[in-house]
Amino acid sequence: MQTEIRHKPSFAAVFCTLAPGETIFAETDAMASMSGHIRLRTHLFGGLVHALLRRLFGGESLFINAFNCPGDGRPGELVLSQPVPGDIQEVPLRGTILYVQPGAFIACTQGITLGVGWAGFASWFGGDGLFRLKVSGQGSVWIGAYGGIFSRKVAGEYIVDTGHLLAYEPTISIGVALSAGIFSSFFSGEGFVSKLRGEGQVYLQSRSISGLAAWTNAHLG
Amino acid sequence: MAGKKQFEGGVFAESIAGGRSGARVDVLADSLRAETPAGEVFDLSYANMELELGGASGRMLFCRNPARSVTIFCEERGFIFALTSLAGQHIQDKMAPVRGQLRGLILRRAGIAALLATMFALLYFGVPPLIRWSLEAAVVRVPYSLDEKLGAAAINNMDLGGPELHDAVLTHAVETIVARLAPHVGLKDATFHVRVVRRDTINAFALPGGYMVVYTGLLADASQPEQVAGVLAHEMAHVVHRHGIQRIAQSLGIVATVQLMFGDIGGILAVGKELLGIAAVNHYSRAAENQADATAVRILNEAAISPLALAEFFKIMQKDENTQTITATMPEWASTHPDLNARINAITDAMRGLPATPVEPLAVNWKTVQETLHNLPETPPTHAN
Repeated sequence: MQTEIRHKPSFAAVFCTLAPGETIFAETDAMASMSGHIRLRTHLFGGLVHALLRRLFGGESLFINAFNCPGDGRPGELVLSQPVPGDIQEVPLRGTILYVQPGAFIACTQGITLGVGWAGFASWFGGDGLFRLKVSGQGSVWIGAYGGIFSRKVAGEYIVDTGHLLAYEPTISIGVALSAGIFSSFFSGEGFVSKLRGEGQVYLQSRSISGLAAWTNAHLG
Repeated sequence: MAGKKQFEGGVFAESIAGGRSGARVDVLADSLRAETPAGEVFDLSYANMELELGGASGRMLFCRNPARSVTIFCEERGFIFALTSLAGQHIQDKMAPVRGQLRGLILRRAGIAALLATMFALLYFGVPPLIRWSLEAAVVRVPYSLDEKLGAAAINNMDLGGPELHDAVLTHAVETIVARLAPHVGLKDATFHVRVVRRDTINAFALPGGYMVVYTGLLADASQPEQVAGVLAHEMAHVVHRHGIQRIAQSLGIVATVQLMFGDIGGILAVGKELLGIAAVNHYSRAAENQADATAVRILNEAAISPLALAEFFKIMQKDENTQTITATMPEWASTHPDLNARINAITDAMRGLPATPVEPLAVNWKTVQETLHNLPETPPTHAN
């Protein structure tokens, strides 16, 4: 399988070339275009229970689409994208785990397992939801952001504002804190923030949907 | 040897591409070993291993060498136990604070779970009674003059189901009964206005402010005036306890209650009048009915009327309910006052606690009342007020 992310960073899309017999899994509605001979099958990824949990708590669709290039010798092309303007990044997993924020998952290769994990009240309080998508195994996963994606190697402590955390490794703990003192926290407009502690990789997005929503609401008549 | 010794975890090491990888973690006799899918192997001796609890779950154990060049981590269930069992004395001291942290984490989570369960239980079981109590408390603060305004507006605008009768015998009989009961209701300045309405329905009701209606069907069904006194005492008790206002507040909700408290009665009057008109012949809650029964027993006793009269009327209702088909003479008062057996028993029980009061018969010629009812013209003329 060959993949390339084009039209970065604002309107990124994943261009995949599937060799005969290869399969890639993607969110429903992620497909922008594909070769006519690629077979699309929709199913519950990981079984009904996990699929329901992902839908209810992970912000993801109940179903997953499996795009398979038949083994008749011809490769197939598939383009995957996301509904919001922003960047897409491929994250390789080597038997590791990645926690992905609700709605950020776009696609993954075979060998990857999708599940739902409890994110905790700190995550919920910090605006990142009670649950998160747990991606693990051997292969690649593509995550999409609203805005640009940048990653940081956390060693110690790192502060992230609400709505900007995209994905993180399980070696990172998330706590919620005031951005400064009580007065500064709220009058600075920052309010609560997520305090990341530990060692590992985190992926962040440069914009937050909740920030856009708040800005839009403020400007509606 | 019992116990799992192989787990799924990961390793941080500078020699790994990307700095980290998932790994199979083996708990050996004298070291911890991590093997990556690429075949790289890392060993950490227990002798100088450092331990730290953390990670997204709070239960991930990080084991690292003093130089921090290699960190093996795992959060699988049983890993800490296996390490404690197999590593021996090497890490017992280092494990103690880890176990303490873990215990604290479990206790905190259990505490949060218990708090959430308590909050849910309070919300589910506590909020409805709290709302009811708030409504009752708010109603107490509303002046009685509002009851009178509401009752007057409702009675003048609602369809009573028949023409009001001004026959001297009938009105005198009902007014005599009310005059005997009124001084004992216990509500200062309350006045009661009773109307007799011609309709073959065994029913009576009271609106807030003391506006009452008695139907000729009920008068005809009673074998003595004391039974009518029992029914009217029950209805007057609803007035005393302001059950009508409470019902309006419950129907209209918290906002209306707040409006009531602040005297903003314009909207309440408009809506309440309609509600009362519809609900005048509807039943109150079971608690309100029981409260009205108990108060009626007290009023009757203090008015020197035997409270058994109310129980007797319930028995008449029971008999009528059992023998009547669905007709216009169906005892509506009974249908809106269910569970008659229990209420008859409650009345007789309540009487046992009352001081003995001599009974004085009502100065009403019930035979004349019955004859008047029987001789009412076929098509009664409409009477102007």
